[in-house]
Amino acid sequence: MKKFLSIVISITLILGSLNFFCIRSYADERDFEYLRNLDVIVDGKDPVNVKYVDLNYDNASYVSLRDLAVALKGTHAEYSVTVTDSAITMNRGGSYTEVGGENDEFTSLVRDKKSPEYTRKRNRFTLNGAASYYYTIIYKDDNETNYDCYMYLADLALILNVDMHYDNGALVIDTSSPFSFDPRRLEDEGYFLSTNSVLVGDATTGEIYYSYNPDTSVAMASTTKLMTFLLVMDEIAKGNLSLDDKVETSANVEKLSNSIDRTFRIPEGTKANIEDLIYGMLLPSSNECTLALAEAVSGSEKNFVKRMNEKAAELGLSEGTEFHTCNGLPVYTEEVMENKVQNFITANDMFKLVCHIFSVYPQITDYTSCTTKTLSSLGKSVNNTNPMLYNVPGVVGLKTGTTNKAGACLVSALQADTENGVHTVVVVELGAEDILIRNNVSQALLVYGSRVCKNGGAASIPDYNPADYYEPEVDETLAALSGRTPETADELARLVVWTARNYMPIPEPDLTEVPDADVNE
Amino acid sequence: MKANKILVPMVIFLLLVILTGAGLFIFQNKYVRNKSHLGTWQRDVDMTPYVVASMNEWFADPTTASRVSFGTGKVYIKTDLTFNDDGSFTEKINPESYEAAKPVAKEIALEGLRSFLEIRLESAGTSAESVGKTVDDLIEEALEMTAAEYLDQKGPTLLPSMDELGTIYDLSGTYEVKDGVMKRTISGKPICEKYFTKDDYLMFTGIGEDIFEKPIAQPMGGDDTPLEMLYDYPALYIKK
Repeated sequence: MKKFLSIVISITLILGSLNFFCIRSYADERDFEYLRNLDVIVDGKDPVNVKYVDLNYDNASYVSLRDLAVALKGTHAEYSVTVTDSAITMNRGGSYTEVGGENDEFTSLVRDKKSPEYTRKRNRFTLNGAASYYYTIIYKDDNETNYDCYMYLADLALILNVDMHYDNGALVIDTSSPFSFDPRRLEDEGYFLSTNSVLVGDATTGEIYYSYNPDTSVAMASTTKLMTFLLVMDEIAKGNLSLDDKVETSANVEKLSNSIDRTFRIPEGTKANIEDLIYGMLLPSSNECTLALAEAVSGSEKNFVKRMNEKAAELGLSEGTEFHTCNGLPVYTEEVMENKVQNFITANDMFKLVCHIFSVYPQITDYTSCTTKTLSSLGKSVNNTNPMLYNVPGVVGLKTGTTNKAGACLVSALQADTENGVHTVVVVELGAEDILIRNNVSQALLVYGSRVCKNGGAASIPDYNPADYYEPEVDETLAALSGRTPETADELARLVVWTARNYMPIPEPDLTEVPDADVNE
Repeated sequence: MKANKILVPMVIFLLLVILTGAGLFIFQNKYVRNKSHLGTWQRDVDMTPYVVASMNEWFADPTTASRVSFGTGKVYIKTDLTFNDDGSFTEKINPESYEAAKPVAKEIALEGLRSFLEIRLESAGTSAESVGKTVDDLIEEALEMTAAEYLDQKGPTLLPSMDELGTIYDLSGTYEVKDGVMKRTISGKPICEKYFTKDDYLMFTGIGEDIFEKPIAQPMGGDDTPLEMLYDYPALYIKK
C-alpha cells in the first residue's frame, strides 16, 4: 500500500511540475516582440540605427530611448536618460552619456531573470523631475549589463515636440519644427478608429475645435461621476447639504464596498464627510463614495438617478444621454430575461455638461487637480487615476472611466493662457480600446487644443484640404495602357473608370452619420 | 322462314361492317398512326448559358460577375430531326439558325459587358450617368471603337463552333416505334423514349420501357448498354 501511494504521489508531482512549466511558457509567450532596426535621419544628417520593437503588431512601435538619445545629441531636442530594471529618468535638454551598445543592430532579446515577462508596464517614468504616466518596456541589452527603455513612438513624439515623420521607411526628424498634426488628417488616416468618439473644445467659450462621432451615444462608465458631482454641488448650493456634513453610510454602501467593483471598504454606519466622499469619488473613482453621496442627496440611488435624468433634460442634453446608476457601473434590469444596462452619453452632451459645470462650479478643479489626498473621515489616502495630470502641463482634471462595454474613457481639462485670459480646454474621449490608446489620443488632443486656444481659438484653425496631403495614385496600368487596346476585362474597366473620372473630381468620402438603430450595444 | 332470309344477311352485313371497322382501326393504330413521326422536325436549343459562361470567365472577377445582369434576351439555335420511312433518322444543327444566333449572342454579351462596367464604375465611386454619358460613350471615348467592335477584337468566343455543337447535337441511327415508344439505336447503343405527335408537334416525354423484340443474333463486339438520355425531357419538336 505504501509503495502504491508513493508511486501515485510521485506521478502527481511530476505531472504537476510539467503543468507548471507549460503555464510558465504560455505566460512567457503572451506578447510577440518583433525586433526591428530603423534608420533615423535627424536634421538631414546621415542615418543612425535606432532599435525598436513592434509589439504584437507591425507599426505598434516602441523605440529605444538610449539609441534615440544618441541620434538627437547636440540638437535642441536632446535629452538624457537613465534606465534601471523598473524605472526611467528622462531630462529634456540634458546631455546623454553613452553606456555602450547604442545604435547597434538588434539581433536578439535578452530576458532579464528579474523581469522575464516582456509586457508593457507602467514603469516609474520621471520626466524633468515630475512623475509621469507612460507604459514602457524595459529590456536588458545584449551585454547583459545595462537596461534600455523602449517607448511608444507616438508618446515620445508628444514629449519631444519635434517634427517627425516616416519617409521611405526611415524616420525623419526636424528639430527646428514642432510636432504638429491636424486631427482631421489623423481621422482620414484612421487614427480614431480605435476609439468611439472624441471632442476637443474650449469650455470657456463653448467653441468646438474638432470632434469625431460627437453625436454617437456610447457607454460612459465612471465619467458619470461628473453628473453626480453636479447634483451634489446643486444640493450644497441650495443649502440642503454642506461640504462639512457627515453622513452615515448605509448597508448598500458597505455591500458595494465588499463587491468586485469596490475601491475600498466602507463599513455600514461610517460617518463620512461629504467633501471626503467627493474626493473619493473623483480621484480614485470610488463607486461606494459615489453611492454614499447619491443616498445623501436623494435618499436612494433610484431617486438620485431620476434626478440625473431630469438634470440632463434641463441642460438640453440629447436622447443619446441616459443614466441608470449614480456611478457608471452597469446594472441588471428586473426581468426574467434580464438586460444589462449602462449609462450612455454623446461626446457633444459630455462637453455641454462639462461647460455647465465649469460655468457654475469651477472649483471642481480644486478636487480633480489633486494627485493625492488623505480622506480623514474614511481613514484612507487616495491617488488620482487621471494620467494626463502627470503627462501634460496645465491639466487640471477631470475624470477617467472604464468598463468592459465603455472601453477606456477620459474627460480632461487643461488651463491655457491666452491673450483674453485663462481658458479651459476640454478633451472628451469615449470608448478607446485600451488605456494606452486612451492616453495617447487624449494627450494628443490636449496638445492640439492648447495650441489652437493659444493661437486664438477656432478661427485660427486653417482650412483642411485632404488633397494637400494625398497625391493621386498613379495607375501604372493606365500608363501601360496608353496607346494599346486593353487585353482583359479588368484593363478595360480601369480605363473606362479613368475616362469617367476625367469628367469629375474624385468624390469625397461618405460622411453620413450612423443612425442610432445601427449603434452597437 | 321469310324473316330468316332478311335477318341473316343483315347480321352478316353488320358483322362485316364491325369487323371491317375494327380491322381498319387496328390497321391505323399499328401502321398509319405509327407513320406520324415521319418527316423533318425542328427543336430550339437555348445557347444563352454558353454566352453567359463565356463572358463570366472573361470578366475573371467572380465577385463582380455575380452581380452582372445579362438582361432578359435569349439566344437559340435549331436542330433538324428527320425520321425516314426506312427506319433511319438523322439530327443536325441547322446552319442558318447558327448564323442567326451569332448577332443575338453578341447583344446579350454586350448587355453583360455594360452591366459589368457599371458595377466597376460604381465601385470606383462614379457612374456613367453622373458624368452625363452612357457606358457605350465611355468605351468609345476610351478605345476609339464601339463596344461591339472591342468585343469582336478582344472578347471571348461566345458560342461553341458548329463542329463542337455537332459532337453534342448531331445524331444518326435507326429507330422503331411501338405503342407510343420509340427505340432509337445510335452507334449501336439503344434508347427507348416515350413520345407522341399531335398536329405539327412531336414531343419526347421521357425514357420508356423497352417493349421491342430483341434480335436473335447480337452484333459481335457491340456495346448495347442503353443511352441514359438524349434531352432534358420533355423535348418539343415542331414540324418543319
